[in-house]
Amino acid sequence: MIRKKLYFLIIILIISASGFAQFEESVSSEKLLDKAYDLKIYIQMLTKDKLYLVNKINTEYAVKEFDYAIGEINNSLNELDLNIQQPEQRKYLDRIKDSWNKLSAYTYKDIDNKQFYKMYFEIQVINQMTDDLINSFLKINQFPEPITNQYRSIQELRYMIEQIAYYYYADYTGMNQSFKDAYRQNIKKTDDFFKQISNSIINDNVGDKSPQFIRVIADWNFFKANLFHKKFHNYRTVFNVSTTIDYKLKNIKNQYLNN
Amino acid sequence: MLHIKKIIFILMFVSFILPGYSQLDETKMDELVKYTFENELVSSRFIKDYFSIVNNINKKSSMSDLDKSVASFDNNLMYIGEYVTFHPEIKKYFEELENYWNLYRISLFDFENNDYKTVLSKNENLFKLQVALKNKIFEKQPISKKKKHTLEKVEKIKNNVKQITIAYVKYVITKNNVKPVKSNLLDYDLDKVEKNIKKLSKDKLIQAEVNDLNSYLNKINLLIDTSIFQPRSFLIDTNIFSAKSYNTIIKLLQYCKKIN
Repeated sequence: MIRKKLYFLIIILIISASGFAQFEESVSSEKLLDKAYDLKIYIQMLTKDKLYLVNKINTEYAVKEFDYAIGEINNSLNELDLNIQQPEQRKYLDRIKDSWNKLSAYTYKDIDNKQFYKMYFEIQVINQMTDDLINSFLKINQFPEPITNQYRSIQELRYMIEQIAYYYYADYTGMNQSFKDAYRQNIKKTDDFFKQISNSIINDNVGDKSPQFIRVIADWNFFKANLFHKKFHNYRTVFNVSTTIDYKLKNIKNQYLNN
Repeated sequence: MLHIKKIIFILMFVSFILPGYSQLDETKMDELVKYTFENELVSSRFIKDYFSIVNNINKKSSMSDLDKSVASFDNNLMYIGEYVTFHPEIKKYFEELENYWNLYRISLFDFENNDYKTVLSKNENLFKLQVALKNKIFEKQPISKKKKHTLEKVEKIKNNVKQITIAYVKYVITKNNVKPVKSNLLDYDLDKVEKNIKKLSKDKLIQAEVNDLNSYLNKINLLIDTSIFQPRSFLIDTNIFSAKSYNTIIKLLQYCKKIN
């Protein structure tokens, strides 16, 4: 009788443990996608911060954000490294890690503008690999609609804002025409993207995503207005508003992730 | 004995079912106070910088200062927003301030219209909303008497900066034939600033800093009295007065952190 009870208990434990394992797996694929997106965003943030630091602009804020971005990149890389088993994804991740290691020659040292653009080239390689990794996650896993739609849109927005803030200051240091064209196209693309996704997020009444996103739109309009001031460059305001927007968007994306 | 146990149980039960709002821990409250005061001080600078830009006084440097101030205000507001979520009523006051700021900050960079009167009045509204938020925070999370006493000094220094800034704006309006604005928004009282400084100089912690501030106040008084129009000098003295006041406030707030 006691033996029967014991078997029953062991079976129950195995079933619940396997249930847990399944649950863990599904949570972890979303978490890994999030880490891959974060990698993309924080590398762009780090690029912007480094450019400001190289030119000794807004150093008080740039140095804090730079430190934060490096921490987040290392954290994301570590999580991905520990959890990615799939061969294709592993290949992308190894190449990202390789590029990131090469980048440390620039990130942790005092560099000049010329060296910065060499660093920028390496960053482009990481960006491509991270995009491939994200696409692979999306292809292999069946994510729920809020993840494939709103969550992704928010993460893409975070990246775009960081990229614009980077371009804004690169423009000030004198970039070539193709960069300038890309910069202007990016602003328009981001503006269109805002219009395209606004309705679905504003009409979402779960949590406080809607009021938060309305605040982001106000920030975006102010940010945009600052990008086109012809008479003077208010790069500190542009920098800090990009930080504020990122903070708010991060809160919104976390709500989609935790839903 | 049994009754006491029952009472304790009932009290515990009631405390569970009542809508309890959490309080901020002391470190977070200190941070919140710091960002709130910092932003009040920063908002005094907006009108000074805007007014200098549209009147072509130290334009390049004023543009850089305005950029710095707006960036700093935005950054502090982000932190304040993070901390005020502990109480829905305070959050409401914060949202009102944030919504107002979102509209106001756009006009701060609109130099083409040269509408300093609107900026002046909007700045005052911003200031009122900041004070209302701060009062609400202190109402919902009271602080010790000792801390309150130190913060009263911070309040005095902050108001001194506001008075000096208004004096600068009025000086340029009067002496540079700028179309005047009939408004009590341009009323200032430098005698009150002097009295404040005198009181503050009794505090040994900030005595040296306050005496330094006094020397700048004397210079500003001389500038107002002289017939030669020296807006650049006045602006620079105002900037120094503001920067030194900021450092004094930081010193007081650091001391405040140590008080229980």
